[in-house]
Formats: sequence, structure tokens, C-alpha cells
Amino acid sequence: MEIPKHFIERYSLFIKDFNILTMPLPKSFRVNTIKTTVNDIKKRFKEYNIKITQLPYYKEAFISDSPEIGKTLEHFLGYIYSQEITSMLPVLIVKKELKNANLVLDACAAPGSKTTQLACLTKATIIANDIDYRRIKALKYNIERIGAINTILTNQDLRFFPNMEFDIVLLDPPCSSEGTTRKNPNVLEQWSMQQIIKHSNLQKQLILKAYNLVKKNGILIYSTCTFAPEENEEVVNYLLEKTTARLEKIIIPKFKTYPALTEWRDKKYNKQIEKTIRIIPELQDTGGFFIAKIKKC
Amino acid sequence: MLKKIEKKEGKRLLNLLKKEYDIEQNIFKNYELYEKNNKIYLGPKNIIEKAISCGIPIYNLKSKKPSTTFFQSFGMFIKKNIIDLNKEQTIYYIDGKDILIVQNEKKYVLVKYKEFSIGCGLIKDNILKNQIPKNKQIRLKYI
Ligand SMILES: C[S@@+](CC[C@H](N)C(=O)[O-])C[C@H]1O[C@@H](n2cnc3c(N)ncnc32)[C@H](O)[C@@H]1O
Repeated sequence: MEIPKHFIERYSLFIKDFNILTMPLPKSFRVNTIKTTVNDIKKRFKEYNIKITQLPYYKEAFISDSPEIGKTLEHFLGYIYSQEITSMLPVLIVKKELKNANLVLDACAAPGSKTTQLACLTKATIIANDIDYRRIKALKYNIERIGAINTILTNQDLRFFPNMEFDIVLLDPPCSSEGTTRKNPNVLEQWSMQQIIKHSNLQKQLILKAYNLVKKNGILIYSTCTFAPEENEEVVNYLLEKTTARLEKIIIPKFKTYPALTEWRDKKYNKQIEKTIRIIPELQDTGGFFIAKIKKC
Repeated sequence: MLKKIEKKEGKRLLNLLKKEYDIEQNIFKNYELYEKNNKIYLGPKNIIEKAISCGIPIYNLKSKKPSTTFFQSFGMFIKKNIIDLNKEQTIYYIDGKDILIVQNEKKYVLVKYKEFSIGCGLIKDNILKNQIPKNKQIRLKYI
């Protein structure tokens, strides 16, 4: 895969090593603590002689370049769940809030990486929603595999979701997925500015609705796996313009992040945007991601 | 449509599971039973009108079969109608094969390997008939 010139020009402000975008992503998985423990998994994989490395910033997560993980009894039993490291972070940053939550919405949930992770971290009821019925089948399969009993599945366009109040809403909307080239090399072949604008427009509608579904003092997490500021800082900035939302600082101990942009092209963003984070592949050998933690005020 | 199961019917189902598998009853106390297309689901206490599914399927009313998902999640609370496989048999079973055994009373059982609950199996005519859903079957290398 060759990285297009216009892509390099557009993002050279925060990506220095574009080569990494063409390299395969290290494989990672999470322990399903509903069914087993981190220590049991470590012990079993040691017996199997399969090398796994625990992440310093998330003790339930491991990386391993072994292709054998999928051939283990633990994989069959749903004791482990394959998930990209960056995709684990939006849930990880609300770990504390999840302890006291009663009702959580995963607004764009399929295929369920984050729903199944949420289920490991909370006793709350989780509503996992997605607009796409075919993708919901994968979501249902993953929820059942993991044994997440406290979940409800809905098949709604989030923009028309019934009015309710949630302690925590996770919004991981469709995006141009520029940060996933290491997994899906053909992402950049379909890349266009029109796609970015189209996603950005939908994301703005979705973030407003998602914010409305959060109860006072509750938390909304917004995340994408793309670099485009139009789908990240601009969307959060739009929410700040339209509501009284406040951003919270995100700290992931032992994990390096890149500060968000406070301006892009001819646009200047609200100063609070500095509290959002960008995850740049070269910093930690991951994919690319963006996360905002928003408090309802 | 997904609907909550009436108290009386719920009790009947839980008694049935108790009778067949001697399963501890209080493990269900934080959850509720629901039904959709003859499948019984174990889910949260309250659901919303728009719910299309919830929790995990535990039992099929038509075939009277407990699900593999249910046994994998709650196998450790089951004390009756269990069949223990050895390592080789377990590898075969998870790969979708039937296993020859010496039991012929037709019934659904919990299939175990050591402390691990592998899933549901059907004993019939001295065969443990494979009940692992096709999309879950794999050829294990590490067990
Ligand atoms: C990035 S994916 C979500 C990945 C998921 N959160 C995970 O971690 O496994 C975006 C999802 O949003 C869904 N989606 C798109 N438009 C939507 C809408 N208007 N309402 C609800 N879901 C929508 C898509 O079907 C897709 O499954």
C-alpha cells in the first residue's frame, strides 16, 4: 500500500512516520473478566508456551503476535476477546464512572467490542444500539459469547432513539476510518474529502442526540478511529457551541497521547478542545484514534 | 417480539432446570426471563419497549434444549446430568464431531472437560450428539 501524497500533506502536522501506517498491527486481546481472571489466562498461556505481553496501562489487555490465540480452549469459551488496543481506550477512561452507573448506552455498538468491554466493567444495564440489522447479528453473537446478561439490544437510528436518561453514553459513530490502515489497507483507496464531510455532518447530528440522552452530570464519550479534524475536534466543537457541555481531561497513565488541535485550516476551536486526545500510531505502535470525554452540565 | 415471561411460567421453567440439572436457583435472582420465537432469554430486570433482544438465550421451548451459551456461563452451578470428556474427546467435540459413549437414555447434558463447561450435548443411542453451534466449532490446538 502506498500512502497518497495529499494524505501525507494533510496530516504531516501530527504524523511524522507515515511508514507505520502500512505495517501490520500487533494483535491484541482483552480478558473477559465475566468468565475468568487475568491470572488464570496468564497461567494457561504460559502452559501453552504462547507468549503474551500484558499492557502497562490496562492490566486486562495483552498483545501477542502468535497466530495460535484463536486455537485455544480459552478463545472457544469466550474467556478472551480480540480487540484493537486503541478501541479499548474509550471504555477504559470511564472505568471509575462505570462502577456507580445504572444505565449505559452504547449508541453505535456493532459489532460489540466496546459493549462487551463495558459489560466486564459495570453492573449497570447496557443498551447496545445500532442502525444496521446485519451488524446487530455480530453484536448479538459477541454479547452471547462473552455472557453479558445485563444487556439490551435495540435497532434504532440514534437520531430517533426514544428520549431517556443515561449515566454514560458512548458514541463511536461511523467515520472515515483513516486510523485503521494497518488493519484494512484499502481504506485509503476509498478516501475522499466528500466522505469526510458526509461523516462529519452525520456525526454532528449524532453527538447532539447522544448528549441529549445523557443525564445531568453524566458522561458522554465520543470516539473515532480517524485523523480528520472535521470528524473529531470540529464535531466536539460543534457540541460545545450548541450546548453547555464541558470537556473533562483524559489521563491514561503510562500511555502517550497527542494533544488535540485547537485550530485547523481556517477554523479556530474552543479552548476546551485541548482536553480531547489523539492517538497517533507511531507513539505506541497502535492504530489511530480520537477521544473526547464530555460532561453534561 | 421480546416479552417478559409471567411469574408463574418463569417459576415453572426454573423448576424444570432445577429438576433436570440441579442448578442453584439464586443465581437467577438478579435477572429476568424473556421469550422471543420460542427461545427463553436471561436478561436484565427491566427492558425497554424497543428491545429486540437481551442478555443470553438459555433454553429452547420447542426442542426443550438448554443452550451452549447458557451452559458455558452457568455450568459451574450445575450438579446433575453432566458428562465428562477427556482431552481427545473434547477436541473432537469442539470440532463438531459426535462421541461414542455408553449411555442411551435420551437427554440433553452439560458437557465438561475438567472444570471447563464446554456446552450442551444430546445423548441418544450410545452417542453424544454434537450440539455446538456450527459458527462456534473450531479445531483446538491448545487445551
Ligand atoms: C465505528 S462502528 C462502531 C463500532 C463499535 N462501537 C465497536 O466497538 O465494536 C459504527 C457503527 O455505527 C452504526 N451507525 C451508523 N449510523 C447510525 C445511526 N444513525 N444510528 C445508530 N447507529 C449507526 C453503524 O452501523 C456501525 O455499526
